[in-house]
Amino acid sequence: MGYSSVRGGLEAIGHAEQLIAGAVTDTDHEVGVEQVPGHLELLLDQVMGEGGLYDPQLGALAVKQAEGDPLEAGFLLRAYRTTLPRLGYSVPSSGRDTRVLRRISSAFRDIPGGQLLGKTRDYTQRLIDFGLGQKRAPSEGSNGTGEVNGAHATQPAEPLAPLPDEDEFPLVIDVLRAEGYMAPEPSEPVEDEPFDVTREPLRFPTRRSARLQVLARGETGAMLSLAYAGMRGYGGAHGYIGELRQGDLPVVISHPVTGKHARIGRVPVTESYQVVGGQATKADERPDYTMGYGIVTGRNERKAISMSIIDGSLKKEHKTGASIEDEEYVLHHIDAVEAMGFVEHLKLPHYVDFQASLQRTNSVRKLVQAARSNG
Amino acid sequence: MASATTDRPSSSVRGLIAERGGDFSGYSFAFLDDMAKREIRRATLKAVAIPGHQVPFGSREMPIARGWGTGGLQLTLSLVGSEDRVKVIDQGDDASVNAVNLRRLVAQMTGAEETLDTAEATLIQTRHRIPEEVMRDDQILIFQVPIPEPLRFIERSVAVARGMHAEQDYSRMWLALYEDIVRRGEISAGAGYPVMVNSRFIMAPSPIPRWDIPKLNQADTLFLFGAGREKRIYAVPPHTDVRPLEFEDYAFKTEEFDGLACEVSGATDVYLVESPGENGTSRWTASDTNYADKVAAGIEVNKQW
Amino acid sequence: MVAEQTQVPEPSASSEPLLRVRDLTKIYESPGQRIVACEDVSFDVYPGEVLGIVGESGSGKSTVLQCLFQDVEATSGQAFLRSFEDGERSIFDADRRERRELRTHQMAMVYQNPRMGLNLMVTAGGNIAERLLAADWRRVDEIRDKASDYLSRTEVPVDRMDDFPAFFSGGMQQRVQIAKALANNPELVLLDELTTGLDVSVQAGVLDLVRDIQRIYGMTAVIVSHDLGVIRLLADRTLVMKDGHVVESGLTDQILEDPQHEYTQLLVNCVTN
Repeated sequence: MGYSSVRGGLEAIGHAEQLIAGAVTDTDHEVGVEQVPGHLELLLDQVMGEGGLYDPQLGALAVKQAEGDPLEAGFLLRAYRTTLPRLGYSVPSSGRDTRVLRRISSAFRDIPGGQLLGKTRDYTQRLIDFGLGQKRAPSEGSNGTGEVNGAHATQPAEPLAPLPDEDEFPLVIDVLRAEGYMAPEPSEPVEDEPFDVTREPLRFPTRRSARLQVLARGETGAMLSLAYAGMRGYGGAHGYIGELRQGDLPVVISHPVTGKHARIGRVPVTESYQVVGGQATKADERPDYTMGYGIVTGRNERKAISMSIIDGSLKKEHKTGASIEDEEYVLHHIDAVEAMGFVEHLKLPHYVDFQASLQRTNSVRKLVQAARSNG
Repeated sequence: MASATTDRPSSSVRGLIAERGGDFSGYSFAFLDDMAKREIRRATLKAVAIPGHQVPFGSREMPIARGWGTGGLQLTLSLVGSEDRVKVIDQGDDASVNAVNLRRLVAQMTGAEETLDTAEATLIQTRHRIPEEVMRDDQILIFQVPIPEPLRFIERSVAVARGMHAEQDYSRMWLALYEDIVRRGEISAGAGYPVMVNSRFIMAPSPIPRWDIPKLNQADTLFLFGAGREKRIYAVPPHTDVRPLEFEDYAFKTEEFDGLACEVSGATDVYLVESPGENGTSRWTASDTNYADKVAAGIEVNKQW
Repeated sequence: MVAEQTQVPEPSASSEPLLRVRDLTKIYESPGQRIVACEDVSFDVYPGEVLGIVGESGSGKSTVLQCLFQDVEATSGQAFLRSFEDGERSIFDADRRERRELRTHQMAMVYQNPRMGLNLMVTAGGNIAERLLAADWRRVDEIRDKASDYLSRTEVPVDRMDDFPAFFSGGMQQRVQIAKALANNPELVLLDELTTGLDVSVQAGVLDLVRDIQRIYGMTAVIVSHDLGVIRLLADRTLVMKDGHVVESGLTDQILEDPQHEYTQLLVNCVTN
């Protein structure tokens, strides 16, 4: 290869692209994009959440194109999303408006509306089902409830109950507010229009909407680790799950001409309301619990809970100095696209930099040797 | 620098895309939407107006990874028109895989011509080098910047560091240099030596070697710096004072190559990189490959920056 | 309380005060709690004199120093430093940049805990260099000469200059802190309980050092201590504080010989008995 043959670099990239393309398309059993939402739903949810774009079709394409690498797939979505114009903002929605599919509270046994276990693996045995590898007759694939993965789940004895009404599930957090344990919800929205982290760089201290956006787009694993460290003593962040709810949140916009509110669809979300604090003091009998809030699109309880723990820690009045309480630390380091990009850029050549570093090392060595021989 | 006016890639670009074997018709000219381009240009103008000051901007996700030149790429894509000639170097090398990939992306998305020739290019995007060949006032050099904050390693908080710049509170930076001298006998910064711009702001020149630092001072060329992940743009306009931080009795020194010559071109007095060869020998070649090629071809090149 | 001060003959009555403090008040407020740390504290400090502030812990004496050095923000009141805007604008109205200038050029603070005043991750010489660098010193040899000069004045072995104070004894750390405070020749040095954390055997040496430096270089200082012995040794004039208020002030000898306020009498009796 010639010393500066551009073809070399271009050819190498070409070959790499061929190898990738092969993995994605040239196999006997190519994964259909349409299979992703049904069969790899949690992966798809994570990708769309971290990609900051709720679009199952595009998400499925990204998952396929990325060979199932969730960070790479989220990155593909982000790099597409960023080119879309922002047409406007929806009207703020409340978790109260969610059409609930699952909701639990670990703070109270009996909650208004009751606990609804819903679709969860929490109480299943984590045993590999060797039968999943065998081909089944097509009819076995459905359990009659429309659940694609129902074949290997325990069949409910009765058909599933119809979806409950929205107002059957008051927020548990409202109970705590009503009892005076927690500050009441602000009557007016705190911010007229949200800070848009995709259009403006963060300024510290951040506005609440900015903080929540960064957290909501954060990488699941990174946030899990931070939240875990916070609970293990690096931040004293052990709170209670006031409520964890999953369901479909309506998206409402204000009509540009009439100003009337119109529901344009629903987005599945997971919300976590973490109850943090407690221990009233003699000096201070104010409502002394605060709420750590977590929300992610799709089903991702791990991230929603982690987010609420982190949010609660960032809100703490009396900080312990732990990383999880440091806004700059948390918000700068949980973004998958930024973190993976910078860590992996170490693969780029650094010949010039390393040469500069070697020069310094040798220069200091010479100084030391000269000093030795002189004295 | 004709600004982008078309929304869709030109037909020649479509051809290139077809050659690559994918369908990317859903993207705008130069990838970024017009709002993004406008915003980046505004930030760039502000950066030019306040030399060395880091201007925050709404950095977009790019189709290449963060830390791989997304800041430089956004600057390039916000400035490039279809008549531009674009050169991209990585560590001085046009053939470096990442440089090839970036150049290809710019060309695919805009139809701009690719070039390797420093003198021919209208826009040069670079990672960690300034070309040996002197650049003119009708050219722009765009640096990819990993860490735009020169104070990062003495103050990790962005908010505090911003305040320090605002107040020109740089004594801790000087202290770090003093301590360096006490511990090592000299200032140890190799690539990315901190500089003072226009007697006002301390600036990270991106990790260029010391060799390139003097070229920043009073140049004819506009230097733009883009940090995508960190969301900052800054600039050194033409004919601006740029001085390395130094003590009167511990003067700034560039790298020395003790009479070594480039094995490709025979050129001396250029920045060399070492490739370890067999049986403990090494091969020294100029890191600026276009410069080496030109000299090897007998072309006269001005490198008196 | 303020009136009492005027009865006292000032040490150099002809000169203008270097520092004038008026009605300095600091109130810590949190829900359900309101703590008055100090209230309506007024005094003058003249060039070359050492003013002592004595009182038990919680009397508000350290708060006064923290407010003057602007480690904490005064709730109300004013303080005029002769060299800041000709003493016409209160230093409490300084903006961030002016505040930093005040703290690195015109004033210096020696804290009870050397960790507060020293950067333990930086060499002893570097700690002194920081103030010189802030004043635009740009020759390493001159900085090092000056640093060794200050270190020898404070009896720190000059060959420890490039060591980290983290590994020094408490007494030595305090000497480095004093050396750092002297760098740039600040107009006013604030000393907060500078011997309280030290072994008794080391205390006397540090006190002698401060007294000698004051005599040789004519340092102007405010020294806060709960220890009347320290005040007796160093202070020309003294304020006695209790519960956030100045209860008595005057020449140190006068206060020790003939305390007027009941609380001062108690303090003095404790020492003499």
